[in-house]
Amino acid sequence: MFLIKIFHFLSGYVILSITGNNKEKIITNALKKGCKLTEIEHRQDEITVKTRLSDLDSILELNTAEIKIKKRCGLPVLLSSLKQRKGILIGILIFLSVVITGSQFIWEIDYDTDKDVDLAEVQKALELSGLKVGTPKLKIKKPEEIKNTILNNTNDICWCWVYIKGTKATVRLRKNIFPPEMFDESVPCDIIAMRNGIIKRVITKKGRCIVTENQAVTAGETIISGTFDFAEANGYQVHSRGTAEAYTTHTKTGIYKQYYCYKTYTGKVQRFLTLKLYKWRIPLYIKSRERFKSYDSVERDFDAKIGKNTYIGIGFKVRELKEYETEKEPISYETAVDFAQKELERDIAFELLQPSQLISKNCDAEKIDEETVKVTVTMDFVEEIGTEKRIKEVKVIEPKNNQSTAGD
Amino acid sequence: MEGLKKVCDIFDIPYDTVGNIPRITLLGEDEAYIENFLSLEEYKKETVKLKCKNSVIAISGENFSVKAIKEGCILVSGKIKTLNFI
Repeated sequence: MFLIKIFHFLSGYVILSITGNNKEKIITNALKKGCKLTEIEHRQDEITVKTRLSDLDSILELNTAEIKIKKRCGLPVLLSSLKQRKGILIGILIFLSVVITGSQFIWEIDYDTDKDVDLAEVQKALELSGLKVGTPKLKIKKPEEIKNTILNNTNDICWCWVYIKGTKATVRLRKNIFPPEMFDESVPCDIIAMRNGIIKRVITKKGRCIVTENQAVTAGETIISGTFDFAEANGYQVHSRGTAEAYTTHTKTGIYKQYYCYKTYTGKVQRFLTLKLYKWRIPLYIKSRERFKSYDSVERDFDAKIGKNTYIGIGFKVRELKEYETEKEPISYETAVDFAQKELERDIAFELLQPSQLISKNCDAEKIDEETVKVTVTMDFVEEIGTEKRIKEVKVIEPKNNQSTAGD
Repeated sequence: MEGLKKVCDIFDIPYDTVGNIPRITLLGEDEAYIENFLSLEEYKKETVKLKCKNSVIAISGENFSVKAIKEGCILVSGKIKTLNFI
């Protein structure tokens, strides 16, 4: 049926209305003249008939008084009406030529990246490779070449690719995750404390332990030294290795409200429409003043596309503001403290060094006023606080005899 | 007609290929395709009457519409209840 409708549209058709007492006779006579009639329907006192444009004259010859043309449809009808309206035809031709010419350029560059990627650096690299807004698509280099330019001119990108769909270029980037810095075994270094704590145990594999059990250390203090003072070779330096476990205390405080806030949308929406015409953005509103005090903003793009992905450079951008009202639901003191404790514990967990072991925890809550509560969470852990630190002044004096460098 | 039918029987010729008799094809109760009719006698939402060589075919039912018609063939759709030769 769909194919037949397309065929009818392409060849053109007329919908006729037949009235009077000789409706059936008119149809029979039309058939005798070789006309083809379809979709004949009886409606009150009339019969509607669909027929080909070429059969129209022979049907009208039968009885013009009782046959009326209801509608002319199809491509030939559209084209003939355009012939009479040259202005529209010229307008359509100009529009088509603008669209076709405009679709030969890149009008938008989208970035699909990880967080913390320096886009300014990437944009410079893209410009170096010749890809920027307004570049003719014919002059764009191959994706491999653009990729190589980006990788050679940026520091923290490990993978990228450029997809060109219509007038939009999508640059996909992935950030390089560098492995932790490893010191060369030949580089002399100390093991220092990363944070304050009380030493529980130190296992020295190489170097000289200079702290004792239950000794308090502060962040940056040396735990295992890589410098030896021998009688024969004063200031002999090695690459220290070992682990240092210490008791650490983490405290977090937060002020929390004894109610839960949630949004209720009022249903009022304010929209700002912007026309996207290639690289230009034309606002279709007079004032951009927001009417609402509290609102969520949503931006949506309605791009004119050929097929699924081929963007032709024309579209609309709608910024929608949805008004909401904040409502408070009171919660009990215990619930507020419990919620605060969980949140503070989660914050402390982010600060921990690995491996770590929880020893004890304590939660203190203090009511400030009717609605506010101050919560303090204190947690004690055993953490490995030692980290390598390069010895700045390298003085390597070879000992005269082969002496062990292993510490206690 | 009777004579022609007898001749067809003798020579094992299908009768519908020789005589201009109506051939009716029913698609369930929804569509009827009728060939070899002479003219459309009556067309309403509840009845369609077609004049054939020796009789009139009357189809009655509900919501009739003629999907396509050309000389000698008609495709009627709707809910067909009865089909009579008058």
